[in-house]
Amino acid sequence: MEKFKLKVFRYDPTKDDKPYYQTYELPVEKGMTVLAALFKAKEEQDPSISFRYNCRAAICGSCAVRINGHATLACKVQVKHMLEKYNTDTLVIEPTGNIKPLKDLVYDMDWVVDKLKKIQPWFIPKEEPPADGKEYRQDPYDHHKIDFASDCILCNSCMSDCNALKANKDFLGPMVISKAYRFIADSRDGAKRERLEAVLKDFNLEWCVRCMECTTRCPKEVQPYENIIRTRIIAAEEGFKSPGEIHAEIFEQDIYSRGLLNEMLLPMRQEGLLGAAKRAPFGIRMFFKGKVNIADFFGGHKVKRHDEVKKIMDKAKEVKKNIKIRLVSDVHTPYEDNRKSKQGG
Amino acid sequence: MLSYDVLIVGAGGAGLMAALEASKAKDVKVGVLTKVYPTRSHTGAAQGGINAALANFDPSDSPEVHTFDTVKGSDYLGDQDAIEFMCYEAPKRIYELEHLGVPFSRLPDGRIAQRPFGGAGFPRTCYAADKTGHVILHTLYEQCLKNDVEFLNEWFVTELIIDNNEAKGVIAIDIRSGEVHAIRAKAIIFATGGYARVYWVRNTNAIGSTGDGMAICYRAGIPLKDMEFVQFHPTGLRSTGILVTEGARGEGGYLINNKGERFMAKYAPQKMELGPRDLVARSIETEILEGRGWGEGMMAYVHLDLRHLGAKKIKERLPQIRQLCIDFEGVDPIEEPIPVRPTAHYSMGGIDVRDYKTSMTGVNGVFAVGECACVSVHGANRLGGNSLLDLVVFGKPAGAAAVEYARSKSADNFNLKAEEDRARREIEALLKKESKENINNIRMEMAQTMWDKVGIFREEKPMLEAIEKIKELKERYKLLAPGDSGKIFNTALVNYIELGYLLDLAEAIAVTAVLRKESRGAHARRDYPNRDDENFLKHSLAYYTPEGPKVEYSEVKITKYQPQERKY
Repeated sequence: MEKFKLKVFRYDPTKDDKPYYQTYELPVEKGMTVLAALFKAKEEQDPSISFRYNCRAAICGSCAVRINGHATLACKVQVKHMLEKYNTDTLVIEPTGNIKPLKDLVYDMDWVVDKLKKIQPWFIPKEEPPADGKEYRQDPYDHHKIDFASDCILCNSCMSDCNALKANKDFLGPMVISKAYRFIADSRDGAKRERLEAVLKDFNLEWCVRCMECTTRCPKEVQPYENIIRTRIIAAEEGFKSPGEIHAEIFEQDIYSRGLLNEMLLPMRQEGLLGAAKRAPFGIRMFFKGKVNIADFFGGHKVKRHDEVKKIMDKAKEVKKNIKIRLVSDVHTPYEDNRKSKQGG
Repeated sequence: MLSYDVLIVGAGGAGLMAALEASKAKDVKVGVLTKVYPTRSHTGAAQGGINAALANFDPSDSPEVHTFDTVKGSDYLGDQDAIEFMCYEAPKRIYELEHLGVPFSRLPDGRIAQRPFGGAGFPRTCYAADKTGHVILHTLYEQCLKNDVEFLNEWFVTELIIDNNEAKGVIAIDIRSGEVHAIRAKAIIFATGGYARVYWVRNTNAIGSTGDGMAICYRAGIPLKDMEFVQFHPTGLRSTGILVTEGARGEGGYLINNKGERFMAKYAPQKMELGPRDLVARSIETEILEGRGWGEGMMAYVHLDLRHLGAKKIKERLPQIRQLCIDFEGVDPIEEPIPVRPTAHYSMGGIDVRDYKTSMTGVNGVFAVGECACVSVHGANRLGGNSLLDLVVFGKPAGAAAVEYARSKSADNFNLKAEEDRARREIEALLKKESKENINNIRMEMAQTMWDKVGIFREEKPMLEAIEKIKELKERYKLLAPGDSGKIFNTALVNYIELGYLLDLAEAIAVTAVLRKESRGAHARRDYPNRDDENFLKHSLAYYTPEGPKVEYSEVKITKYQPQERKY
């Protein structure tokens, strides 16, 4: 039978000065998940390997690890698929990134729970329950907004591969902001502003670098990245002026009033005179390269047929109020279907 | 020494519901001990839904009909006073969960949506897509965080300490540090889940569903009730045993044999695929045994076909099931039928609860709720959607009763330190032990024995053989060692102790099954194919002795509904 190598990250702080890797050779069995392979190695070769597990059905969120550098649930992927995907005979199994390993593949979950607590990850009702003691009414459309977000199993796959969290350990991270979104977007919840303040604090919403690793890694289609963006939109709608929101507003004003961006005045409007002064040398270089128009300093020109741009924007604003956009609840399937058709099956 | 007024062991739906209720009492110190992080509990895997006669979908539904459906489903072995309590409490608990934030799926008018489920007279099952248990579990955990409940995460209980028929505390291992601790507690609530892992791979439960609380209480002298009743879910994936929820059939899936027939027409002509679970499981097994399945022996299966529902409906209504089949079986139900076969699913039996209003056992201060308990509301067979209900309905009053009990007790001087020292020495000796025996061999032999001989169809001779085999495995277990001498996160030690629990429970199941010479609910005897109310309308109680279980019987509470033949 075909064999493969399972190369496992090993670290026991009570014994080892630093982590090392240990390799176990195993047969490639039909239907074998990576979690099953870890168990096989543990039960037949080395009982001292530690890893978390429970449901083995991708719903408890215990067994997130990095396989060849990318986070996933060990129970949810087939050994055979992974070997094919990475075109290799070796699977390197490491604990989730960005979070301190405690032993082997077991990481420090308490660190994550402490982060979660900062956004009050619990339902706070907007109003008293109905007098008849029955349920709060929720429109199916409103329910739909939080439906996929409440799929999160706290597995930390997104936290593991988040590039912003790698640069800044104080960043709340995609899982935590996505959890905040689940409550912020809940039509029954009454603590929207407090939660928004918590995620806006220390520029948490701005820290996201939009690399989309979180959404790509999420095993449950929770869409953490999209939820960060949705949270930013809700924050703007609620009148919070984050740097990103001010930036976006200036863009919108410019397009509305002249149909193109005034890059000359943008820094001044965004960061004030002092902030803009810091950028002056850069602006002067741009001017000499012909990248900005000095006339912009005095208001500048408009695009041709600007009135049509205005009309489009007015119309968009008008219909926006009445349109219910159904969020795509299944972002992976199109990729999956594409992949299948590419493979000719 | 750690000390609590109320200690809850297990943090699934029942444990968290009890914790949430208990944490409202500010004068009482509450702790929750769990071997996995709370959100990793097996409650999260419950997909289909939770029953309550809200009458949102059909106004003619009522708690009374729910009560009758449950009594009938239990094959009249359920205690009718407890069932009535559960079904009348159900709507209140659903609204409470909703008020705590559970994102239930909705009807167009904004009320909680309900759908039909096996064995129920009306569409009564409230749901959140196919992740009902998941959202309930997470919501309860979130509310516990809000109430600042103290959690001992990744702790593992090894013993219950009782003195003079009164709870004194538990012995537990902190898995993270490897330290052995005695924990003093006035009231202890066990909420540790079921024992379906005695069938190891042929079961739908989480790897950690090893019946810990049951075995601990059993060894401490509390009887186990109705252990012979194990529910087999009709549809588990062929190769992994992972559950394909009843929702798939509720939405209109067909069961097909190798002749292309919807064979449920023979067994339940009216309800078809929505017949009660034990009936559907036996029907599939009969088809397989009579050669109308695909594959052979343990790997035989029939088809669950969803293709006629269309891609849109499958994606919208059953997204998790579809993903499950792709990831674990390599089959996309939009394109192919799902290969399924029965697997062990739920433990009707459990720790003998004496008073359903408090969930207290025969030992003062020891409570049991959820799947690890046997009230009994599920009797010989549990209806789909009643398990999540059991957790929230009995979890809440148990939390309140434990608080009341703890308040009535003053601090005592029972010498727990001595117990702690003894337990620590025992664990240390285990870590030094060496063995040539392999844990997986013993476990697989146990599972194979239980599946073949104490599984869906039962008969005296094979079951007696099974009892002998389990006794032999218990002897071999004594020679087994954990295999890892490490201190921190020694999961090999945990697995070793869990196997000991499972062997005790397997023995209790086999012995009570042999003694019950009738067929009732999930317990199907080939040599006694009929229900025998004259001799067996009673609960079995298995008491631990070193030689094996000693079995006694207790009365079934019958109030309104006299036993009738159960037909669907």
